[in-house]
Amino acid sequence: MRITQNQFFALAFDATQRHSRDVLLAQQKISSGSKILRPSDDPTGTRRALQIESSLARVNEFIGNLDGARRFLDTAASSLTNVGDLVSSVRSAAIAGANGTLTQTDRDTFAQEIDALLDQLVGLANADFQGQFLFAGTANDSAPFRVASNGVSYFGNAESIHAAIAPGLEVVMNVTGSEVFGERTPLTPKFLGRNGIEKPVALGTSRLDAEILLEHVATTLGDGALPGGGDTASGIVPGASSAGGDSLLGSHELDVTIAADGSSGTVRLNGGPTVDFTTADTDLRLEGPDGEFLFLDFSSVTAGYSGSVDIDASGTYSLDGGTTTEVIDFASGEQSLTDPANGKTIIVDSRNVDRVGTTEVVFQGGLDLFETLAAIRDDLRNGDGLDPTALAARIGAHVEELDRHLDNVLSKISELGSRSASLDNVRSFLDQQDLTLRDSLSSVKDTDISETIIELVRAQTLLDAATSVSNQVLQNSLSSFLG
Amino acid sequence: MIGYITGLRALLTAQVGMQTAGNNTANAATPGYSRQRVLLRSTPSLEVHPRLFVGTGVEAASINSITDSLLDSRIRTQERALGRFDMLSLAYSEIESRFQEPSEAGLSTRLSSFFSALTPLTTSPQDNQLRSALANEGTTVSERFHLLSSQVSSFADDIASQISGKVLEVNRLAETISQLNAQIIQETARGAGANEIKDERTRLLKDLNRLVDAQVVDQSDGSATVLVAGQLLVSRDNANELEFTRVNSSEFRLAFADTNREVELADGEIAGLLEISSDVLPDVLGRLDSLAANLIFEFNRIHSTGIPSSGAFTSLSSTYAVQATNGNPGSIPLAEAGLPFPPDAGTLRFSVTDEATGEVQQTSIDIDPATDTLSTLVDKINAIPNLEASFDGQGILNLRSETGYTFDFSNRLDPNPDDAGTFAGTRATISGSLDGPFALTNGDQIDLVIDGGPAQTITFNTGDFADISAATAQEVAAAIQAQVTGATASVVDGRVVLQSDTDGSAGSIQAADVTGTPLAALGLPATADTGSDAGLEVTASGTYTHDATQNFRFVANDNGEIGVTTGLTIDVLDENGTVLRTLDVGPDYVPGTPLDVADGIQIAFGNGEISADANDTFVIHAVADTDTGDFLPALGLNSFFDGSNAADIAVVDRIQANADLLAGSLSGASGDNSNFLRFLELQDTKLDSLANDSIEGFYSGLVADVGSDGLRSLNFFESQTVLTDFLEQQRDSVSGVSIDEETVNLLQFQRQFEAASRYISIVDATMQEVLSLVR
Repeated sequence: MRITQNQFFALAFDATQRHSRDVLLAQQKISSGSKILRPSDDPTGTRRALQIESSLARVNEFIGNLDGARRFLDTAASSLTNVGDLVSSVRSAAIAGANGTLTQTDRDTFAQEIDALLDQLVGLANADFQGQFLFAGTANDSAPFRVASNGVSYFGNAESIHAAIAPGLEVVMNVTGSEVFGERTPLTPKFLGRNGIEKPVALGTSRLDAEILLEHVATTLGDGALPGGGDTASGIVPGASSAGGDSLLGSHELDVTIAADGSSGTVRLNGGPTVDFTTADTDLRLEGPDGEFLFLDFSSVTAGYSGSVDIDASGTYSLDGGTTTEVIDFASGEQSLTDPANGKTIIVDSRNVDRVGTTEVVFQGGLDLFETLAAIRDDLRNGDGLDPTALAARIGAHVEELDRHLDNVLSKISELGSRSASLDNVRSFLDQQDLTLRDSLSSVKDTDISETIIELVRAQTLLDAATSVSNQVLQNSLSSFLG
Repeated sequence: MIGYITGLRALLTAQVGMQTAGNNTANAATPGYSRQRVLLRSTPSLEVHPRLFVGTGVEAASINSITDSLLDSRIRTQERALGRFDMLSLAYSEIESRFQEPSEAGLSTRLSSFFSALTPLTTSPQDNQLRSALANEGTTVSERFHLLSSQVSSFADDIASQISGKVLEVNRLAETISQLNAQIIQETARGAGANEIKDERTRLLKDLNRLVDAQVVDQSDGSATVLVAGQLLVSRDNANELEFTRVNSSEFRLAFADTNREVELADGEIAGLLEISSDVLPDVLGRLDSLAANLIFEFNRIHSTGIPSSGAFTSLSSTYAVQATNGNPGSIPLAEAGLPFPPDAGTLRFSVTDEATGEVQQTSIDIDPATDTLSTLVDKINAIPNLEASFDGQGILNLRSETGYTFDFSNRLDPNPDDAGTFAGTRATISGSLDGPFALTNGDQIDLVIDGGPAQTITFNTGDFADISAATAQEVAAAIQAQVTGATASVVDGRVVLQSDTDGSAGSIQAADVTGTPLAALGLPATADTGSDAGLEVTASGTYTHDATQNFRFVANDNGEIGVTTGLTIDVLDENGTVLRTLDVGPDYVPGTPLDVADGIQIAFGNGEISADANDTFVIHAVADTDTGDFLPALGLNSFFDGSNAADIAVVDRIQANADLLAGSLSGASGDNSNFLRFLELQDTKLDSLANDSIEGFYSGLVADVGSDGLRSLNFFESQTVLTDFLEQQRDSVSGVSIDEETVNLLQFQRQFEAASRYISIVDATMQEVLSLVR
């Protein structure tokens, strides 16, 4: 093959071009830090890089979301912790206020304290996170709890807010206000009083606390054949003050011993203290062992009578303080009382009713947290003028209600805590994924500096070699050697 | 004397040789130059004596170019391929540089940030800044699409002007070659070699082949005939011309000027450029457009059924106008209305809310785009209570609700699924226990006693039914309604329901068979039902999550009072009558507490009594897709994006102006993020219309394809270059000038010249000797 000068030049040009390009490429890769400068450098790599970048963006979106959800949850949890503390304070105040030795002024102070706590509670219930009310469900652009004359009402909804925290994984961010503050459990009324009313098997429709007033109507003794309901055998007749004045209701028993002359005798009620009487006692107040009493007329007793006389006292129930009454059916285990105010019924077991007075019906689980606080406050103010024992019982019932709410709040706190903990797990999974993706992105896209520097050095060496060889070869011409 | 002549000839020949070597050396770097060689020939010998021949020296017979026409032809073939791949690889590198991938500036990053802007909205759906940020990101994505689209389009313009430049060059080359042909024919006729002219022509033919695939046929008269796509471009001294016209952005026409016959090029730069502008660019642009269209459509599809944070709508206008060729937009079936995303046949459900009471009226309309026009559609919408529709001359549909009402298209549940009170409202109600169709007999009669009034006898006649042995619930209800007063007959989930028109406990209803056993056929109870003064409130809540539409039927299992009666339960049945769940509403249930039904639905029952005897029942219609025909995105009602391709995609003006209109809620509650969650899902959804790829995946595929096509043409170009270089080397090896060789030649001729001079001087000295003898 003939060799011409042009071939040398072409080769030298080609070699320097090629090696210069390699040097330039290595320089670009090193200075940009990326080995894919344009898609055609590595089409599959480009595709993978774009996909990894998009997955990476996704993972970071989820991380951002998760952090947002977590802050929301944590804010809710810390609000609820404050609620728990507040409920505990209310509890101590209520128990302190129930102490029978306190004066009404002292109790009013406690009532005032609880009233202030109630305002605070509304504030906590309306806590927000960056403008989103925490306990409002999805209607969270306005405060969910509003104070009105009849109490605190919930204007949120029962919807859950879901946050996407990983592909295909959603977590509920919120607990609703009704779950936290409005927790009600199936209702079992509690009868607070000393009248013998008991909780029946069936329940009425009423969900409201009520006071049942028991009043005496008339007392019948023995066969009741004598005028005024007196007993034929013993000749004892209910006293003038008896009707509406006796405190006992239902069945009771008198033990009577009358002197042979019929002028005097002894009597005792329900095995209580023995009382002497004479025929002059026309309206004797006879008291039983538990303080129950009735009025008796001994003016025409049967001489020489000795034995027991059955007492049967009728009475009425009233749910509205005596305005509307219903006759007590002492045989009924499920007597239904209707509240004329709202038509709701309370079913009571009347079989052991034994005295007049007031029984308070407390529907355990029927009050929301706000109502409970308000109820304790009202108890302490003692508008009904109850005696210390009754008051303590009433406050005690409401404290039980408060405890139920405290348990509920604590369980919500722990629920939020466990959700937060599971978010932590997902977070570490996402962090791991982020790391893995960054790693693979780097291996697809980033320049391997040491490798590229070696490439650069190699290309430079080749370029040097090519230029120096060209330099030598191109000088070689026969003409150079000819004088 | 012959010696002088011999010497002179040698001198002259040496001079020609030196001249040729000098010329070769001088042209060592001239492109296309073929080295020339002097062909030496000894002159005829003289017979100085009989049979004694003496040589008379040398002469330069001719000066030839050393060429290899086969090699030239092979170089031309390679040159065409080189030209084509050169253009292709340049164009691909140009296109991929427009994509700016992988980098922060690319569309890929913009798409990611668009979806990323959605994510924080799922945790803070009513944050106004985040909402605006999403609208802004939408605009940024749109602008990036516009930029890419316009860059690709303007690149097509560049290519078109390049092509016409190259066609001009082809014509100029053809003209020059024809002129050279003329000279060569002349020279050849004169017997001259015309070496330089042929070299020039060879060079031009190579240049021509870089542009088009031109076949060269050497003719005996020395001329070269050039054929392009089988047609004559140059014949002897005639040159034809090519004409280039751009029909439209992606269609071109290349034809011969004289015959107007179209030229189909297979190779060469022009073929490469044509391939780019008619295949490569339209493909890239098409895929970009399809990506933009899918983003628009899929996003709008989700957006259109959502509810903005500002609440449901009081008015809405479509963004896509119905195109009316006849000037009357109301007369064109929607399928032919030139909508960028034509709708399918399907149903569209409207929820109209009474803002004062919160009561929701849900109405579905059937739309068949093959027959429905804007005006029939408007009629259908106007039939929905409290909603008005109209269209204008531009083909824009306007929807408006009456004052005090709002409307939306979400799949939210009717919060009050028992608004007729058929479950346990205040009115006395008896319901059938069976679904239709019912096997009635002509003349069947029942007595209805309403509110304790006189018995009203209802007769079922054949005429009232399409097939009385398979009577539908609607037919039965219509027949009863026509004959009864004081009561309403309706259909709930395929059952016949009869309800007294009197509220409260004064109302009662009782049915009895008179002729036949229609009660049994209809599943109606014979027991009486009395109204209640306090009706039972049924409240549905939650977001329906299943992907198919379902009806959930609720039936009372016992008679009793919610939250009171021991063992009281309510069954939830699916459409097939299978019990999905039994809800315990006995003493352990606090009236008003939501109970889980299925698929995200919750139901709460208030205080009140339910009756199994009266077959108390109601139904929740859980609709998965309220717009099965994709009607809202087709017309652009409550849409997020406007436009239909990469060049015109944009965020709709109303959302740009007011980010509150971003529909992230499905229930209407401002903190509801359900629709934003659906948007997020879209990011991962593989779409059939994008070759079963996700939006981002499709884009990265496009970029990777451009890259790999570019890489392929670059590889072709490089291997072609190697081949061409090799052929050029071969050509150089044959035709190139070696300076060393020419130096040697020069020396040789110089020595010859010297020797000849010496010879002449010797001959002369000899002659002197002879002459001196004469003197």
